[in-house]
Amino acid sequence: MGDTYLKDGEGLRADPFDDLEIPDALLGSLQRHRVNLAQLVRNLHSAGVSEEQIESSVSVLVESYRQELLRAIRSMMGEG
Amino acid sequence: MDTKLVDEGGRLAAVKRYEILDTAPEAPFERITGLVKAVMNVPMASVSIIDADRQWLKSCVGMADGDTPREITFCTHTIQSREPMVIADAAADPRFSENPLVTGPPHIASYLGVPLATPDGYNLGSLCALDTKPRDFNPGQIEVMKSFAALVTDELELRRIAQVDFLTGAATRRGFCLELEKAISRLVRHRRVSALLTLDIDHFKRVNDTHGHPAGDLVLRAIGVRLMRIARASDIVGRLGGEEFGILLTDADLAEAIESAERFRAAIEELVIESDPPLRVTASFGIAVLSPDCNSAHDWLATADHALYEAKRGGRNRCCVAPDYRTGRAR
Repeated sequence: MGDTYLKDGEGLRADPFDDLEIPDALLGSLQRHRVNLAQLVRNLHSAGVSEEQIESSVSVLVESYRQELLRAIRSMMGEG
Repeated sequence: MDTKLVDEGGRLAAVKRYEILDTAPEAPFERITGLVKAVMNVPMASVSIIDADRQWLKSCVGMADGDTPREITFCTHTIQSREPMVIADAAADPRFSENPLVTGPPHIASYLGVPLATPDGYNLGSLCALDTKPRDFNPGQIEVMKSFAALVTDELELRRIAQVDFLTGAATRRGFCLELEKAISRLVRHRRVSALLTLDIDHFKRVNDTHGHPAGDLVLRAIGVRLMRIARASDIVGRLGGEEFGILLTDADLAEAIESAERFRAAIEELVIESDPPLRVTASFGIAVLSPDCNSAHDWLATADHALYEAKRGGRNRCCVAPDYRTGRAR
């Protein structure tokens, strides 16, 4: 799935954060994360890591960051 | 010359700003070290943070956690540079051949560490892959580690930003609870007492119902600003949710806590909030000095909230001290 999240080698195609309303204060952080995630995929490819391992690794990282992002948004909005 | 690399004071201030030291293990970091171990095919991996005189591990796999004296750590070397540090054979490297981490447990034989750099250029610590056998790390693997390190920094950055409440500028509940946990740890380690105040704006629902939610937001913001202006530099103000705030008074005993609570209460009572019409509110306070019996932020907050409830029940716009857990008597 190495390229599933890639768009023109830069952004994420199937953006897993697309449905979230992101506060301005987090936009820069999220953009950096998108770039870093795409770079990881490229580097894993270059290092010869298997497609299967790349897919499982990136899925874990995307879901993990998404949960943390949701938690951060709720926290910033004073919702606990 | 990269001045940030030699600005140890600035680096330690950055470590403090990220509020990560001595926090509990968290799944995102555990996942990253787990992936480093699997992808790099090493028996040990860690996210290390370098404090003034120690290395502390936010996450580790395949090795024991706990503090390590900074001077013997590999990572204290890693953070001196912008580039990854690779040690293919520690026993053959004069810097590390006699190092107790090489000659004894965890018997580090090879090391790859990537600095964890903040967006403003300070190295907080490093992401490490370690092996008990000598080995080299090829350029592709080093690039993969750099990517993983960037993701660790993303997670740290997300937490730092999320520690500030969007509306009031106070710490979020999460950030505030981290501070409470640290105060508990200070009591255990250094016998330093702290006190917690919780406060709830009286009849806040009435403000929202009568003047609308934008006016309610103005009230919350004004109170947050007022509390932070009055608080000492060492105190922490947090928004615990809704119209409830917390104030952590570090190194404060009961007498000081009562005096502070009364000062905060009076300041809110006197505050005129610019709105149309101008608004005035009061708040009720609960006071709980940290007790040796208390071992979690949750318990401490519950104790202060119990006193806050008493203040509400007693007529509002007042401060009440939490009863002693064991005797039920007022402290």
